[in-house]
Amino acid sequence: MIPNDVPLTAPIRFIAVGHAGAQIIAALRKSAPAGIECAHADTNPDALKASPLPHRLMLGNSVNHGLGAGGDPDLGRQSAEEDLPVIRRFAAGARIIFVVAGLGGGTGSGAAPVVARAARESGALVLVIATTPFDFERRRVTYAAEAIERLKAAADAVLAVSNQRVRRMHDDQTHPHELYRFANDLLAQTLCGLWRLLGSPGLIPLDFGHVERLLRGRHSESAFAAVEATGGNRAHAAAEQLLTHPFLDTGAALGAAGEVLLSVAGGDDLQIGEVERLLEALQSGCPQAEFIVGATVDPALTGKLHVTAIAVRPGTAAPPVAPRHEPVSDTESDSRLPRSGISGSGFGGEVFPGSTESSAAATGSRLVPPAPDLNAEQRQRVLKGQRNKPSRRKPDSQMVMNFDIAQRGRFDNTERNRHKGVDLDVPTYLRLGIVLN
Amino acid sequence: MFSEAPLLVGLEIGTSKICAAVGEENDRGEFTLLGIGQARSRGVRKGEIVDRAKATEDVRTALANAEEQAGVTIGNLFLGVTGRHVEGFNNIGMHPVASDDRLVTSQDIADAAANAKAITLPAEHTILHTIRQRVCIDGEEVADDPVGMLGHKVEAHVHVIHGSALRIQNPVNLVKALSIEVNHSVFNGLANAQAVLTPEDKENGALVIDIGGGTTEFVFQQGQAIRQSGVFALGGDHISNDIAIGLKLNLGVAENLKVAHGSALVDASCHGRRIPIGENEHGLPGREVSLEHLRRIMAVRIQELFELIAERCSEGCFLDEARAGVFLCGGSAHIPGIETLAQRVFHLPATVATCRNITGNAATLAHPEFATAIGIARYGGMRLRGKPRQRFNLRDVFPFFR
Repeated sequence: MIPNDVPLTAPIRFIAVGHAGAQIIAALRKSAPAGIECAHADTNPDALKASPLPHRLMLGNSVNHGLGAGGDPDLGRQSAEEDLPVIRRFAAGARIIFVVAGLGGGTGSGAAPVVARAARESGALVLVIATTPFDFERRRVTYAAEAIERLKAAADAVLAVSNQRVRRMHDDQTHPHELYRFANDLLAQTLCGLWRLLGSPGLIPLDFGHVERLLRGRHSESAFAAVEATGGNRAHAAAEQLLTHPFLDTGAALGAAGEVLLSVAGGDDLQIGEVERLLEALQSGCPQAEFIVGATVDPALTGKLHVTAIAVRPGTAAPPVAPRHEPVSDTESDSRLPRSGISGSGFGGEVFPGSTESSAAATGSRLVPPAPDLNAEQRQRVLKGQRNKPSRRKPDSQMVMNFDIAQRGRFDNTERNRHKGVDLDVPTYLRLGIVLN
Repeated sequence: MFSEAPLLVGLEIGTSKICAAVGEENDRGEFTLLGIGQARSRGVRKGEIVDRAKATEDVRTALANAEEQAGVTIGNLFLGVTGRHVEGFNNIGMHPVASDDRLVTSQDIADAAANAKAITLPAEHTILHTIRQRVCIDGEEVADDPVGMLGHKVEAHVHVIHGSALRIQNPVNLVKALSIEVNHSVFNGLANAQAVLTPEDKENGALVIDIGGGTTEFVFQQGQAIRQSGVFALGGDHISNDIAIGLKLNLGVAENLKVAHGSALVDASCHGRRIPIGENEHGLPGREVSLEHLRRIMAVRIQELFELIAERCSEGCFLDEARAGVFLCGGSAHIPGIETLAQRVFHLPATVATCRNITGNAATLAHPEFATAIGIARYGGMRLRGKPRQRFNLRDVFPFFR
């Protein structure tokens, strides 16, 4: 492990897991004002040595002997399990932790769920921002899908963005570097917006409680995006950008949203009229949504308007607010672990505690023990056994984010034909979900 | 050439075709169609010009055709306006009766109507038409001309059609660049109603829907008033595009398929039938597509369009009042079964419209896609007849209907 000398004080911290995560955080550090606390967790010591981030968390040196995870999520997971205390030490005392990872590789897919779990166990709200691979990376896509399932169980909210979707926004001639940089910048912008939303004292304050209430248990049913606009008509420009943002399903997520949390950040020249115009423009795009608005002022943003939106689908009520847990120390959490059946068994292990659900319900804690890691065969077995038990939530209540950019064909380059949050240029039969076979 | 009746030219710059209608009006207000010129439109998307050079060329061709057919020289014209930016809404303007004796003057009514026009439009929007719906005095609806009645307060109910000033100006500049004067811009929807409705239809109330290539205009007219109007940037192009995406064809093939086998209804007869889509470039037999899918894709799109219109029309008025029914025009009115679908959605009788109360070539007048251009020319005649206008005349405030 590479020691961390700088003391940790910030309530919001970032953990980049693996190479892709580190790239995104590096992009964030470029655009965000100084003072964000971030760590790079990796299984590969060489990558850590070259890391641009101030804190470095070496994972599983004893497991992988300094060779990295080698594209094997199991190895990545074991490595992270090995160095849980390192992660907890970084996470201790934080209120919110962003876990940023590129899924599909060994470290990202394997270690990120463990990191998220460890961070959550130390009392923080954990938001995961992840990228998933291109469609042609077959095996990696499978790993990523598996990892997302685990992340959903381990974190408070997961936002996954497919590289394939970013790919569709570019033509064939685009250089791969260009593509990755674009994706990283988009994610960095979103992260920066979220960080500003949660971290800065608000003009119209919007605190952590709002975000937590909105995101609790919603996972990928929520989508978030951040945009920045300048110039005289920046309010309209920002609204237009949001309504066509790729992370928000080109605006469809806003249209379908029940609640939208909106954080507006501007410089000293922020005008109330702008906030008003922005809201009007957005509200016309998504008539059903309830808007929760916060505004912050940051002198560094003078001349700019920075808007972060978190859209949450209606219908899934958040569970009642549980008392927040104080961050637990290493020893305490260690002693908790065997009880909730998380550690001990290891990842290849066969042990699966059947009482997970009930113990979580009994304690009423927000810290629901994560779903244990099972292979497909084990999962099948467990599901079979549980078939007759009343399930706590409907099996299909977990919405899957639609990663496809809607097809508009001939109208691809024209002004969007928006009507009550729906793009009318998209074929009606597609929107109605009529299957042609 | 210097005939007594002024030449009335209506130009519609549409998404799929550009159409110029030349006509004249005698002193009894009867309209005669002299000629129609048309050209395929290549520079227009969703009713708005996207390629100026091509659009200019096409407009020139259409006007030249019209001149040739009618044997006239076009010096000025009335121009149709459409596009997503055009919107109609209802508003009420109020004005207290100023005089001591509470006698309503034409000035009071003009002021009330002016108040109704004083509305907050979206930035850079301008008013295209203001059409009176009715006048109320102290809350009671009164006859067309309430001057001389007694009351405290005059209310003017109007329908305002507005659009983006810049986007309205675009085609005007294009026509002016051809050294042709533009007398006035007309909302295409109003023009349609002029062309296809008889006075009786208007009295009974009618909904006119023009489904063009890239836009659909609708106007709900009752008596002399426009109850509701608007534009959706949806049209035949969208139907073709849906087919192209849904059946994985290129747009041209989809277009041909729509014309040859399309229908707005999915009935049992098309179940299981497959249509060959011609040979490929190697002379081998091409693929087949399911007729049912083709029609299903078309039907849901058209139905959705009708539902959008029905939804918009039911804001502030009742569609049931359109007792004369629904009149369909524009190129997509040729789709078989579209009137049956309209009947189902609106619960009103529906017909494919033809131009009426107009003399001219009967074959031309029967074409629903020429209704807009003819209607624009006709509107021009009504507008010219309205002149000279007096300052406080009601016509001044409500130039369109008198």
